[in-house]
Amino acid sequence: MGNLSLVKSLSHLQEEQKYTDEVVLERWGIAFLRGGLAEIAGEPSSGKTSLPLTLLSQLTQTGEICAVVDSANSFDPCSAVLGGVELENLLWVRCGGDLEKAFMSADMLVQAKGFGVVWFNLNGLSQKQLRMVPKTYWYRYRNRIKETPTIFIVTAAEPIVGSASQRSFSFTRDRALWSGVGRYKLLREFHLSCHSRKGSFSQNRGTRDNTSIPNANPSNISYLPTAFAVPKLSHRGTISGLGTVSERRSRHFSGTPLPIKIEFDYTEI
Amino acid sequence: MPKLYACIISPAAEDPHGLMAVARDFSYSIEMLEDGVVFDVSGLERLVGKPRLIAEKILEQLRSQKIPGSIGIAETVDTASLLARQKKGLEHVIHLPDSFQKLPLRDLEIEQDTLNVFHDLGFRRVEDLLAIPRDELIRRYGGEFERVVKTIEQQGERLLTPNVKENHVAWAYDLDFPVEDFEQLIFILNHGLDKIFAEVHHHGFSTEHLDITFRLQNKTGRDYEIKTSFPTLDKTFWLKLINLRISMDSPEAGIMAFRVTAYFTKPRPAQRGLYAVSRPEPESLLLTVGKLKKLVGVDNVGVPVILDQRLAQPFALDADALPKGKEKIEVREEHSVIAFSYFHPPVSAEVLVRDKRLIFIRTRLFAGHVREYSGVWKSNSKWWDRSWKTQEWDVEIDGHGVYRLCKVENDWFLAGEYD
Repeated sequence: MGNLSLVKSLSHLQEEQKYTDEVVLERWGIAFLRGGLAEIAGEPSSGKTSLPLTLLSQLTQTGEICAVVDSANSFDPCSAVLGGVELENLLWVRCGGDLEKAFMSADMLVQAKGFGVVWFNLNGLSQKQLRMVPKTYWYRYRNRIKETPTIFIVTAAEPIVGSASQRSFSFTRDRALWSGVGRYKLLREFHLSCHSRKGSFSQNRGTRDNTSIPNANPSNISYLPTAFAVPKLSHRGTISGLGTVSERRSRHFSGTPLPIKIEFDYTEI
Repeated sequence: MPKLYACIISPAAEDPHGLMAVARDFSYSIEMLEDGVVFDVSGLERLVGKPRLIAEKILEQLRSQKIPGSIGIAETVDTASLLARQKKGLEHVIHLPDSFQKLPLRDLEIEQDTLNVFHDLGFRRVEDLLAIPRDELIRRYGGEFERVVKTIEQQGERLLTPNVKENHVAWAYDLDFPVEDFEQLIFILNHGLDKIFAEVHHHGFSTEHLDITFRLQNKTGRDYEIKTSFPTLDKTFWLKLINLRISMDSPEAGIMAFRVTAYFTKPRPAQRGLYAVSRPEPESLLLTVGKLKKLVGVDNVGVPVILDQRLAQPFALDADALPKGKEKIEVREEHSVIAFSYFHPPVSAEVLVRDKRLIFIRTRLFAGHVREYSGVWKSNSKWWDRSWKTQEWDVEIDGHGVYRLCKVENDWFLAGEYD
């Protein structure tokens, strides 16, 4: 019976997180836990890059220093500026498609402590290569990050982090909205669906919140097997933003913010 | 150990030699002011006694040199100089920290508008301000007022800037035999940094610039200039930074001798407040960037900058810059746009065009019918030496994503995806 004393209580696991505050993206209806690892997966053109940019925008504007590990040199600073990111507060690390260097870079940034967000962008790397990454890497990040105020975000085409992530969202695109006729069309909006595979949506869930969502407070469930504990939640939204023809062509010059409309329709599935 | 500073404000300050002579009897760390002198008397408590006794000793020296002046003594430079200035011109007066609370507010360099408000509220002396909650003062009068609050609480951050002729110290070492690997010399360098940093500290300075010069076996020399964006005397940090810098560009021959020069800089005040946002420590940020540069290449780590040009990729990476952690005055509302993500290298494509319409696209990633598209767009900033060859379309592929399709002469490729 004495061996039982070696088993840590579940409450201990919950307390290991030093920072418990969340950064809430109200329009997206998603909250990110500081000192936590979050995963965003999605097919092409599903908004998985727009979401980290929104988070970077929110934190860099308040003076926090954030970092992007750009595994496949796919990061576009112009989109970041249009999304409101303060580039002066952003550290950009280009890894040129080298997976090993990307993982080592992310590790160094986590060890530096104090970054607001470390965005580990794995878009553009082959899924076959990513699936070969040992899961222990992700647990290493999770362990390193828990005592820091950093939000560690991983984006990839498919979920790869597994049970090491505290939050996991997958995005799909319902449709892309185009305006105009004939040759004079413009890409206007993406209508997206977001599925929470793990963790919860924020309590403040956007502009059209008519649906009640079961309590999925992660502070109560983070240590339980996720497949059973977390209800599958979903919400739908649109991201828009390519404006008129003149705006579309002038974005490289002026970096003028484009009009944006996001409305979410929450449903439980 | 608390610091202690003495300030002499004198009408004889135009001829500073007398005041300097008095100050030198008590301290090595002296700063000349326009109307006097301020110097560090920390540690004299053990030799002389309480601050009052130290002030009396200074006064004796002033009398013996026949220099008129008032003396302020306090734990911060600001408080000492404010105390000494309160009855300027009078001969041989001592102001102790206890008298700080009686100081009139007009002596605190507060803006006239704020002073008028205080006057209306009946606050005239420091003790009146100390009686009301400080948080309330900062909330009402803004962040600038924090400096005033620190002054009245005698926690000013101003540091002494000693007047010394030298602007650097150096240390050199000759080796008995050549050493190929610099890492083997770290323990010797450690000893050298100990010495020069002690000397820099002795002068009351810090450093943000080290020069390292090697004399090599092949009779040539090699110089390394290492700078940080902040002054520090943290030896471990400097050793790591030097090692990183030299490992990225090692000397081409064995090292026979080396010399380290540290340049003086004013020390930095503590800048972190209770409400400071999340930022890595400057030392940690600089070291991390150094390590990252060693890993992924010097040109691949830095801050993104937007170019004012109409190019296909109108941005660059500034490898010499570090993130500043600058706070924006007006924070925009949460804002989202469709982001763009580049393919590196661009994905070549085969495109079926019928009646000048894009019909079908096949790449190594996917193949599918074009559902919608917009274009053609052209981008080129340097039209005078390049023709407008690149044409762009935004295309939505059935069952796949929305991409930017480009055509250069007869080659089609995908530049990236909208995401």
